Amino acid sequence: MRKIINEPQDFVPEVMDGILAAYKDKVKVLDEQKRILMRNTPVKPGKVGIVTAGGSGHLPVFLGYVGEGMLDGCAVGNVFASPSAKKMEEMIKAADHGSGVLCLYGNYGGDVMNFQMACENADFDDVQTMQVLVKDDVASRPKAEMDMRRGVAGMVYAFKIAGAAADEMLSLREVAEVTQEALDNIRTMGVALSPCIVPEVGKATFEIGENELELGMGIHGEPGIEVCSMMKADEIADRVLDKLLEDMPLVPGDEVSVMVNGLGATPLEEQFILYRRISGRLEDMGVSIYMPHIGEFATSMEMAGASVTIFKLNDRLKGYLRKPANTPFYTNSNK
Amino acid sequence: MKQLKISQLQRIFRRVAETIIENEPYLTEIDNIIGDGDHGTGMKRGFTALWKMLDRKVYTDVNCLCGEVGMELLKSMGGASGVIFCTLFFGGLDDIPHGEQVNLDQLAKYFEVGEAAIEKRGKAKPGQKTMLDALYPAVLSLKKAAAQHKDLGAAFGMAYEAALEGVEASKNMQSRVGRSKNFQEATIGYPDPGAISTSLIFKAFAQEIRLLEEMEEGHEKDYK
Repeated sequence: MRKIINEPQDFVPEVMDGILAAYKDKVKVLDEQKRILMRNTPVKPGKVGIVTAGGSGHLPVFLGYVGEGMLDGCAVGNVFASPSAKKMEEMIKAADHGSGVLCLYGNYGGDVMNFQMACENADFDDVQTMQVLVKDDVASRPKAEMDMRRGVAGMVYAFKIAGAAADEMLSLREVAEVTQEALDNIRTMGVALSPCIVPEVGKATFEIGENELELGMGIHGEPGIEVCSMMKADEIADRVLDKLLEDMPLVPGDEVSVMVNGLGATPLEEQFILYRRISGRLEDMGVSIYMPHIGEFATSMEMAGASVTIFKLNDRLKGYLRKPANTPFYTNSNK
Repeated sequence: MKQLKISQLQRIFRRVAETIIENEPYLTEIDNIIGDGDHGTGMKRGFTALWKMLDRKVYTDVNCLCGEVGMELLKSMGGASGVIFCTLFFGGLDDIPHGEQVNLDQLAKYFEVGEAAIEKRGKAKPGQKTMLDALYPAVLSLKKAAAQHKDLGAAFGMAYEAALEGVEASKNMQSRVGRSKNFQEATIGYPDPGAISTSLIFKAFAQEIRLLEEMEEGHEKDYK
């Protein structure tokens, strides 16, 4: 293992220390253990709170989206492990401005169990909550079982839409509905070229062959659809886009936002080579692209590879995507 | 032995913590093969926090002790394991009496309700290569032992044996829930790490209660 770290067990606390040192004007922690990050900027009174939670090792997901126009709070777990229900409960209560809190997170067993327990406890204290789960990874389950799919990079769009809807002072139910509407129109698929290493484990727990890539691998190394020999960028883009379009067909005149997301060790240059092909094909189909996102939005430590997300827009969703957002790790003012 | 005093139960929980901590390398080794390798470190983190809590505080109420054991695991572990092993000790809390003593009937009911709470929380059943494959047979054994009015030592000895059989049976199962489900066929042949942890909890109960029974017998002999 070659990583720029101190002691493996200090990985998460030291990441938190660094983030707080850099951005304490924008974010703050709620607890002594520094596992609950909240925005440190003014919030409209009565706005619905938007929170998420998840394991570490995916920056900017999850905590990077805490800030203006997106999330009010994020509970931070150990690498690839959900934070505890206790931390989530504390966060939910702190994020309630009187109108309830939307819990918006990826569909992983640990996160689901902890959030459910946290929401039960919050409800007990009269804090109203709703949960919307992100299940955008088309490779994780076939379409017939889409309700069991995992959540990956598409959650960034969901954070954006939920945050904008909450800023418009929609009710909790309305925010949850528009966020779900967005998610119904979001699909993601990734390819992995190399594995990643959890610091406390010290070695990769899965392998990818020297001249291979894995289509559809999950962000914790979950097996994908197919292990293939290394392909050229255009072929990778085609394989991924075909799968996405098969799952969510597009017709001429449709408008989408496209996210090409680096998984941690893939240069931006390669991401733009992918984007070139994806955008070209979509334009050939008569589909227009609005506000493309290219860069690292949801990573997997030092994994090489990329994911592609298609977000089919309508006027309302487009309006929410355009509304300003400004967090330590995200802004749409440059897109 | 028919009753556990609060001080004895606290000793047992300490033994549970020590047993999990000692077995961290083994849990890690197995989870490296069929999961993502973090089960051992997560369990060690939680049960180290539990050991420290039990070391600094003296409990006088059985219900309070069991509740705080569950809460400490939840707070310190995180992940799916944190909520599941919290639920094991927290789920059946309504069936654990307040006061300074607890008997086998109450403990059997406590673990039975805890097991059911885990099934509900995790949307899982025995047979899916999870910790339930050790817990469910252990609970059945405890209930059987309670019906037969066994001593606590014998009862938890039976529960441990049943849990171990469950661990063994989990080797032939294909993972269907939890993160190891992603490895599907590759998990066949290896036991479930959560089931191993569960068997270790019953092992610690059985061993420590035996020890307490021997101490009491020795004590009685001294008087005779």
